[in-house]
Amino acid sequence: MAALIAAAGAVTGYAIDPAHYAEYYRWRAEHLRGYRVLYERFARDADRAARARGARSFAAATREIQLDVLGRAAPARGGRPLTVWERLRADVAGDPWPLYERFVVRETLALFARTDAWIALGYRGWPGVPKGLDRYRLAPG
Amino acid sequence: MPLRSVAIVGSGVVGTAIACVLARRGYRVDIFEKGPPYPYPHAPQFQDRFLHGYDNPAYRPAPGIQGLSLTGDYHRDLDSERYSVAGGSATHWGAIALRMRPPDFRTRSAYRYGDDWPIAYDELEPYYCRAEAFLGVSGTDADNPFAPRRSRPYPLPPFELSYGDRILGARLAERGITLHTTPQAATRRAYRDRPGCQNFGACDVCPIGARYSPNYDLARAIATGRCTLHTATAVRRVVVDRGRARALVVRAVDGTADREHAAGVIIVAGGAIENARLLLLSSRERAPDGVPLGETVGRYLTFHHLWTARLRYAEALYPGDVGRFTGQSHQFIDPPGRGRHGAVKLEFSSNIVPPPERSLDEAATGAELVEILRPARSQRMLTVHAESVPDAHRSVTLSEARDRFGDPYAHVHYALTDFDRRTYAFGRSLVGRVAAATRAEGEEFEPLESVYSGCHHMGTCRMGRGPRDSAVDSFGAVHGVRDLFVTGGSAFVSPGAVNPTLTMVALALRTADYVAERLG
Repeated sequence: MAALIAAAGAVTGYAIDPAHYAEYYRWRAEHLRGYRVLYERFARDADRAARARGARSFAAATREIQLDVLGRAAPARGGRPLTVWERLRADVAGDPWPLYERFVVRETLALFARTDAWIALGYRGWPGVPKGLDRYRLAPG
Repeated sequence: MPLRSVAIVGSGVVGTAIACVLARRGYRVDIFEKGPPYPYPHAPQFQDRFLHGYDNPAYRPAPGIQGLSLTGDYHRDLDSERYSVAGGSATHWGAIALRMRPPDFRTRSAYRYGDDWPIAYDELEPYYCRAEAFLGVSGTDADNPFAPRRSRPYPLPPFELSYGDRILGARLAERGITLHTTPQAATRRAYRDRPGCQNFGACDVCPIGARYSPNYDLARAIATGRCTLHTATAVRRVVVDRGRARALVVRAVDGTADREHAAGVIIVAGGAIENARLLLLSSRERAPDGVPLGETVGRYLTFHHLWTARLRYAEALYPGDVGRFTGQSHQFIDPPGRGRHGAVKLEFSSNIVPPPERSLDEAATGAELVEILRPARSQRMLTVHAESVPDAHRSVTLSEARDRFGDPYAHVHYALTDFDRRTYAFGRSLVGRVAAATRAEGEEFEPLESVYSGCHHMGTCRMGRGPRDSAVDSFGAVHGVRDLFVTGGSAFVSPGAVNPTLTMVALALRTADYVAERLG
């Protein structure tokens, strides 16, 4: 979980409350096929890559190192399905980074877009958080 | 077969309203729903959607249950506009709860288009009051000079205009356009045992039941001990014996055998498309114990026509800060040009919609994502919610394709008319007026071809005075068949420009009273 939360902090670049990210990852690991193994492999590979860059672990690394590690998956960015080449990399060559990009980085950004991005835009809260009806007639902030 | 028994096809808001009234009055009620159970309050669905980003397959109908075919000018996925779950489509509705206006019931007499209803506003008005109490409607007419007369106040106070609506409303007022609050079936304060709205902003899966969902009353009907909800059970046809509806033929969606369910009264409340399909499947032309159908069954399918404009402003208006709809204008729901074109309701949506210029998928970091989203704070989506003209050629028939039981699906044909095109032009002109009045710096309006029904499907079993021009009478009783009723939006003669659900519930409560009186 520490590696996933660190990835969320690095990729979003905001001081996020990790609680709902942790809940999101935990639920997916427990309920959706393949996620637990993927998350475990991600943590192991991210730690290994961070140590290769002189950090103690991925979670303990600087954001620059974390982004550098995650940047390995940059070609898969765009939320699109994996290309044949990327699938080959993942399935045949055993390169899991396109999968990490799709199922860790992109899904984290999608969660950020639904939640903390609203705070960054000046809103009082995001959809799903009870905000009450006392203040919505006033400008946020 | 117990005479005081009622079988209802469909567990949506119409079937639920009737079931609730009849079960409380001591009748035995069985509701048949082909979709799966749907928990209430919708907290599990809320968690799936908002916490886990998960589209739960448990809430989808079984394969081979939905699959209509479509021709004409409607290009959206009609199957996705119909929620086959316990509670029906109103498990997801926007909950805007408006009364039609008196002239909406007599467009032929007043404006020389469409047809008059066999019932007038004044006859329905007491049932509108009951429907508002049933749903728990929050609203006021104090700021809406276009509202029809009412004999009772709203059960709950209104959701006041939002921050952005207040700014735009003041600018519109300078140009003579009224923006007012939106009556809606969401609790501005606690109502009965429903809590007050807490502004989760997740209204289509409201986790606390502040927004009305039929499942609230389904549970109450079941709690009487006289109502049973049969989920995942499809109704294949209605059996008629010597001029009287005697039974339903039903089958579990995963079953292999039909069974007959006999009842004293049968009420079909499965939505305009499925109601027509069931009657057509039950036609005497297909079976000797079928329903003798008039020529209008399946015809006059009518949608509302929605088009949305994106208005861009210099300042942040913070759409989405409140989940509920707040500002709309009924100033044009009975406009001077009515008859040449249709009526229009204008509605500022509370949605925050990302600008179309860049996809969120382009963002590599949170900072990039926020920059893509930032212009959305300064936009408002304005919906033109338009009347359409009933047309006999817009229809539901039986398709070549068949469901998992071998029964033909519905085939929908829906073509736009010249009246609709003129209404679109009228709506477009109103968008221009609103954009100018509110000092929008940019406006984009959807093309005619993007027309959206708003999930408002009406007609197909319209009410009237006799079998030559209609399928049912004003109570929903099918002409020529005793003890068979078809209710809901399918009985509408014309749509007006306002959301149909409150009228559907008012008609349902009237039908329930009538059925109770008949059964004794």
